[in-house]
Amino acid sequence: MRPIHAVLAGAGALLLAGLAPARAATEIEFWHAMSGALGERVEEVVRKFNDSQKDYVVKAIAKGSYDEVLNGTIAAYRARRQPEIVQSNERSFLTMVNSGAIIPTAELMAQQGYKVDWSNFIKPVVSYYAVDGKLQAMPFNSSTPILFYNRDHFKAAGFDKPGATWQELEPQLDAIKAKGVSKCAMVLPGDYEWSFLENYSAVNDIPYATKRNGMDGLDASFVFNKGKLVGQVERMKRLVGSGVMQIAGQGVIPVQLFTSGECSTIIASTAAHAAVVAAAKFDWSAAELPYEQGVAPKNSVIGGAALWTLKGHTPEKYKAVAAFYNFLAQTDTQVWWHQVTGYVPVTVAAYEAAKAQGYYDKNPTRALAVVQLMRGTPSDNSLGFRIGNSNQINVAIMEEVSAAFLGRKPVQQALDDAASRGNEALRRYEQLNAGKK
Amino acid sequence: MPARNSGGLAVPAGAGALAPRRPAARRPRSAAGTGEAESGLKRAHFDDWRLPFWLLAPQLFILLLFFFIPSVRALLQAFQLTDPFGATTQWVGFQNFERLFRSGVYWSSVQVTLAFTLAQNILTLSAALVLAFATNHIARGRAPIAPFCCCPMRSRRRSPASCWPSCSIRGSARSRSCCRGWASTGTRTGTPAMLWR
Repeated sequence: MRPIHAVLAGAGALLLAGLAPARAATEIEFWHAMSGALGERVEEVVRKFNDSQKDYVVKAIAKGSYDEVLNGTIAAYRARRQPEIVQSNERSFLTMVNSGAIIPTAELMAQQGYKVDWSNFIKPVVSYYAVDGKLQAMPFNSSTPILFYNRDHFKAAGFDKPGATWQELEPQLDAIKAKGVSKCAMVLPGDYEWSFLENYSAVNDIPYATKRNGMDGLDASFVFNKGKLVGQVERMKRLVGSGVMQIAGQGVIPVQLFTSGECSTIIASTAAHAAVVAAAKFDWSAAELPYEQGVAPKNSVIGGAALWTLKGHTPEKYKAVAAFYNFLAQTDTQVWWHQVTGYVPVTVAAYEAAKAQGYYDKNPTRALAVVQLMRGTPSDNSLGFRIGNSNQINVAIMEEVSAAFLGRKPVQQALDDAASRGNEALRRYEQLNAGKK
Repeated sequence: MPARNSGGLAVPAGAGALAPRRPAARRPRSAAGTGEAESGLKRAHFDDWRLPFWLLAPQLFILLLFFFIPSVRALLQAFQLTDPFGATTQWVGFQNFERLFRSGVYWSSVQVTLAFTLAQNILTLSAALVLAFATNHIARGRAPIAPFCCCPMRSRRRSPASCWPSCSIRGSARSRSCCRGWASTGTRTGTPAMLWR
C-alpha cells in the first residue's frame, strides 16, 4: 500500500467514526423568527439541547419576521415540505388551531409518554394557548409590554421616576422635551397595536371586541372604536404631533433609539431587555404600563410566540419534537432563557427558582412582566384575544391609525374604518371556519 | 420573433417577400406541385404537422405552465374562499367581488393607479417629444447619435412592416429611409419619430 492510500484510508476511517453517531440521530427542523441578540439565544438553546443527548438533532432556521415565517410555513405545508416545529406569534393562534395542520402539544406529549404538569405553567400564558384546558402549542417566548425609561433623563428633568398613570406621565414627557433634556421623550414602538391599543384595553378593562374579545366564539366584532381607546389614540396623535413622541424612520428599530440614549422612554416588550442590557450606556430602568387615572389596573396580556408541531412526519420525528419540548420546559432551561432574553418564564417553578436565586433583587425590572401579567383578577376584557385573521387585521388597524397620526383622517373616523375593515375580515374568517370553535 | 427568419414557418401576409428569397431549408419533404402558381404564402407552409408541432412544443409547454394554468386557477379562486393551509375550499359565488367593490382601500388604490398612469404617460411622452425635437435640431454630432435611434431598425431591415413601432407610427418614408441609409451607407439624418418611444 502506498503511503497516500494509507493516509486516505485513515482519514476515511476517522470520518466514518466521526459521522456515525450523527447519522443515527433523528434530525428535525425548527423554523423561527428571532433575529439579533434573541436569534443567538435561540441558536444557543438548540445547541444546549443537541449537546444534552445523542438521539436527536434540532436544526434551527431563521426564516425572517413572524409573518414571513407563517407565510413560509403555509407555502411549505402546501408543498408537503413543512418543518416539524414552527414558531408562530400569539396573534396567529386561531389561524394555527383551525388550520388542520397541527398536532396539539398536550396530545403530542401524552402520546409520547411525557407526563407534564400543566398546572405548573404560568396562567396567563397557558390560558392564551389552550383550548378547553388543552395546550395547543408549546409556549416558547412570552412577553408583555413595559415602560423602559432613561433614568438620567428623568433626573435631569427633575423627576424621580415616571408616573404610574398617563395623567402623571404625559406632563413629564412634555417637560423632558420642553427643558431640552432630550429631543425625543418617547419613541413609538413598531408593535404599538399590541402595546398601546390591545394592552391598553386589557389594563384599563375596556372591551376591544365583543364575546370576551373573541374567546366565546368566532362571531365577535370589534368595538374598540366606541370607548376609551379613542381617547388613547387621540393622546398618541397629540404626542406625535407635538414632537414628544417620535416615529422611528424606515429601517430604524425603535428600541435602538432608546438604547442609543436619543429617546428617553419606550413602551416595549420585556424581551427588549436583551437589547437594552447589551447596548444602553446609561442608567436605565423600567416600570409597569401606565394606565388611566381612577382605574384599578388589570393584568396585561402576553405577546411573543409559541412552538407549533406540524402534521405529516414520521413517529420518530415526533419523538424528537417531544424530547425538545420537554427540555424547554425544564426549570433550568426556563430560568436561563428568562434571564438571558427577558421573556417570561413559562413555569411557576422557574419563576420561583429565579426568585430564590435573588435574581429579582439584583434585577428588579425582570420581575415586572410576571407581576404585571398576574396582577388582579382577570376580567372578560383582560383574559386575552382570540381574533381570526389577526395578522391581516393588525395591518389594517395600523394603517388606519397611522392615517390618523398623519392627519389624513380624524381619529374617530380612522378607528371606525379600522373596526369595519377588521369586522369584514372577522366575518370572512367566521364563514371559512363555520362550525369550528 | 427570431422565428421570422427561419424561413420554414408559416408567416402571415406581408412577409411574402421573405419566402421566395429564402427557400425552406429544413422542409422535410419538398411539396408535390410547387412549380409555377404556388408561391409565397403556400410555399412557406410545412407539409407535415409533426415537425412544426415539435418545434412549437417547448413554447406551448411554457405557455401552459406559466400562463394558462395560473390563469385558470386565478379565475377559479376568484369564486372561492380557501383557508391558508388549503384544508377547506368553499364556493362563494360573487362574494369576493362584492367585498372588493365595497372596499374603500380598493377604490383608493384604483384612484392612485389611474392618477399615476396618467401622470407617467404625460410626463414621459412630453419629455420624449421635447428631446426628440432637440435631437433633430442638432447640427453637429449627429453621427454618433443616429445609430442609437436606428439600431432597432437595422436588425429588422428586411421586414419594415414589423419595424420598431416608432417608425411605423409616423410611417414616414423618411424615417425608414434614414435608417436604411444609415445601415448601408452611413448616417444621414435622425428623425424625431424615432425617439418617440
